[in-house]
Amino acid sequence: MKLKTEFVVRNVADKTVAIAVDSSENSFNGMLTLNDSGAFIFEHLKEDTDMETIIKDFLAEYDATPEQAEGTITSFIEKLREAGLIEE
Amino acid sequence: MRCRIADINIEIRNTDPATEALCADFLSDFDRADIVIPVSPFEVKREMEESPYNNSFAYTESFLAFKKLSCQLAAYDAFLMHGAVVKVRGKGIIFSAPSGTGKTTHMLNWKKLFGDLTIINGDKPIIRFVDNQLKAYGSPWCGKEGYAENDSVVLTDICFIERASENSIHRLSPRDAVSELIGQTLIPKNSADALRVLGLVDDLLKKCAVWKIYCTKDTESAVIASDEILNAKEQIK
Repeated sequence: MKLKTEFVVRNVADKTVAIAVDSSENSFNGMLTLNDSGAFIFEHLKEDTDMETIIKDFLAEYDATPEQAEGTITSFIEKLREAGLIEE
Repeated sequence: MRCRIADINIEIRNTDPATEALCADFLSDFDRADIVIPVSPFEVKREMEESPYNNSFAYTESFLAFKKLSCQLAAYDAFLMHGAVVKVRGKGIIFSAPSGTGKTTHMLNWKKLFGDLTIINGDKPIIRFVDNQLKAYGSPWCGKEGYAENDSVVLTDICFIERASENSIHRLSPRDAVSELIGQTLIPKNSADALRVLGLVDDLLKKCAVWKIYCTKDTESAVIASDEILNAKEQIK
């Protein structure tokens, strides 16, 4: 699974923002603000990946239990899925 | 025709001479163009057919030139914002809000209070990073009321306007202003340019004081807002 469209991610005034830059007219024309862990997961989704890889890298980066990691990642990806941003 | 806009030499290859009248205040003479914008009659006619508005050929040609120009601004450390910019008492203020909110009304209330106020651009100023400052420029593309001057101002204050039943003004932190500011900024559709513009927006938030203005339609709203903004301690770092 990965992001359906290309995003640029940048820090603006201490907030991490992600903006779609798909060149098609009817693309997602919005902005996301990401917290630290969200930005981490988002970065992974730029290339094709899977839950196992994201959880493994997340646990290496953050002090969390496997259950917490899975919960955080699943919930974040679900939000992206609801917004139509994930390509399986 | 040759125009100098935002300190950039622009050659627009128009076919309708009437388009020049629309850009009269910005016509210029130069040897070398920084940007060349061709607009074909075919493109103009197609745009006129697809448009719900009954605009003239010249107006449409000018509009298409603007659209094409906006895609090339990032290379000049420039971008477009949706807002009205004024120059007054040493300040460069942009009033920003979605269309129909009342930024023109509010801006004109300021004009009533300050006779020496200049409206730089009433609709979509070009913001450009020049000499380590962010300047807002007038251009031929300034909204239906046509408020613009061939002039520029260093931006010092960003104000988000919201219609309300009572007047008040509040200082926002740069962080709190990010979503609203990006919402009123034209972000290019290619990633390198988009990153460049986001960098400029970040810089804008570092260099300007940000305000939220709740305002009625009355002149009183400008009294309250200007009192705070013009008397605020120097914030530019």
